[in-house]
Amino acid sequence: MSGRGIDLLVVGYGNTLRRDDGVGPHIADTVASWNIPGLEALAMHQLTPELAPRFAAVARVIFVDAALHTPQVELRPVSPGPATQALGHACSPSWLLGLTQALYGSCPEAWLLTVPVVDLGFGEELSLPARDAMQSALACLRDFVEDGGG
Amino acid sequence: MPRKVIIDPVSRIEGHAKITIFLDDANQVTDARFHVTEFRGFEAFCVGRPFYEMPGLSARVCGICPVSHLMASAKAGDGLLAVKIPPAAEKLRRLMNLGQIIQSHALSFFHLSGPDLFLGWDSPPEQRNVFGLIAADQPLARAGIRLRQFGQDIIAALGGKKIHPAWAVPGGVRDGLSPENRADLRQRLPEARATAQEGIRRFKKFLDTQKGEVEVFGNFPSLFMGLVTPDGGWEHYDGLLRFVDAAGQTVADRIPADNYADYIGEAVEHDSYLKSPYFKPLGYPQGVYRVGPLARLNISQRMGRPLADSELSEFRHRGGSTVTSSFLYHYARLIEILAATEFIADLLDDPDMESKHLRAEARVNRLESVGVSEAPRGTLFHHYIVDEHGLMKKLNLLIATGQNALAMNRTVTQIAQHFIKGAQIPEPMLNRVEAGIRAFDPCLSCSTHAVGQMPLRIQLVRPDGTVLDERTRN
Repeated sequence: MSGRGIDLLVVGYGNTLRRDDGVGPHIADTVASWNIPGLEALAMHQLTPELAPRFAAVARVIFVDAALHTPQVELRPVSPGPATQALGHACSPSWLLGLTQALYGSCPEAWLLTVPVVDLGFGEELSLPARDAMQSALACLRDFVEDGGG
Repeated sequence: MPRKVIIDPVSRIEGHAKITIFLDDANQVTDARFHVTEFRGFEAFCVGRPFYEMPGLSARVCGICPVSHLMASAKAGDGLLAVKIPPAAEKLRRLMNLGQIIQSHALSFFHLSGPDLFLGWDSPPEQRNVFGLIAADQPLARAGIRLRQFGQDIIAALGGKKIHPAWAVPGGVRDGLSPENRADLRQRLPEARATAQEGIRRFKKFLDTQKGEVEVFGNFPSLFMGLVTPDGGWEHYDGLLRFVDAAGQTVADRIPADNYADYIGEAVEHDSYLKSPYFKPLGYPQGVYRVGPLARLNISQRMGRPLADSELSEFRHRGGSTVTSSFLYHYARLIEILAATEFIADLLDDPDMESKHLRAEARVNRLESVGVSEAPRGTLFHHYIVDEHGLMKKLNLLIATGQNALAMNRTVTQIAQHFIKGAQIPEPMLNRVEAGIRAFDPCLSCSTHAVGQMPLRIQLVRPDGTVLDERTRN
């Protein structure tokens, strides 16, 4: 359960009962199976404030989330958000980074990997476009890790 | 001409609600209502499903307290199978339920109500949030987050994930606790206990400055209900139901879960999707009762562990032998966290944690069963009726927050009558009304078994529809 020795944390989040919304957790589970030293992957239903202590212990974080109306897999940097917002039903990556910054005085370098999806209906299977996009996302992550990331 | 103030949505609670405050011609508060604006229909769409799916289905009522539904549902399933689950399975379920109590209470105290309690009711709204709390006291904020993390990690260690773990099943549980996780939790327990004790220390210091709030934040006589152990001690997972009145007298005791409907009726209100349970012998609405941490401490002779019992003694010294102020739900919550850490220590040292015998196997042997356990917010009932194939024919979910509905109404009215004067509604006064609701830590997704969000505003509206004042939250 500790973050010791972890340099890169991949956090895939989404609802696995809402079809393509589960692509984030599916990607995280696949990344976890790579068993790469220094790399940890978490599959989560949603982002929560309790991730802040984990973030404080790592150098880099990649959030992985499904996105509608996006043409392709995209990896872009995320900055900590302003330290003024109340806790809502769910945390955004920038809010969580801002919380980490406020609590610990620093936060990891972070990116958001958005995966294009089409179907958020009820069910556990990914659509064909989401499965294809998942493979592209995994290739992107693999390149990131092999290139040293950042 | 009568007017009304509407707070919509209520902030820093789980789920969505609005509060309507009615003013008379002299701008005095005449009444207040707490409405829940979510609708779900859980009890309808589960009909036809196999009963063994119910733990997983009902856990998805809510992301804050799925474990509570897992427990009550699994226990209802145990009843349908007519089995007594293995001792190790019960202890593991208890461990997860204690983790749930810790994480939920920590969220309520440190995240949701903490900004009011530690920054002050009248602090600027833009600072009255978790970031304001961090700026004011970073070590406390960190400790609160780590405490919740500890509770969540207990759940994940057993169920594989923190939210919606599909782990408790009719007949027992799916998996045990690994030696590695057991050691990790044991190593982290002292910090969790220290945070609970620090929270209690801070709250007691704060309480000394809040005598006014204690008097008017839902301070009224009511019944209190919950589960107790066979010898009348604090219970969170099993036991028998007990009702106690505001004088501390037991009015109904040793009630098995199966007989709950003999004592609890449910009324439907026209302006809320939240049903209003009441104590049947006294009728509606006289039979108002409260559940949750305050109720559990009021009905119990003891917590059952030394540190928590010491705090219980001081709790009663400060608040009375039967504590009637809803403001002290916060205090009770912290004592329960402390008790949970003590019980967890015992469970982690129990040799049954190594047992592999975790499930009792059987077929459907009964067609009706009631599973009851204590959710962080109060007593939770899952009442199932199945056919001979185990398919759900009917279910009734009696949720903790719903059982506090009448009390929340009364609390809102009392606070509004005390703090709101005149046509100008200052924001700190509105926050006190909301804070009264937050003291109950309501889980509105559960209580209406609901989904969905509505974009909502705060409006002060004349009966003729003229908007006198408007505030936007969310």
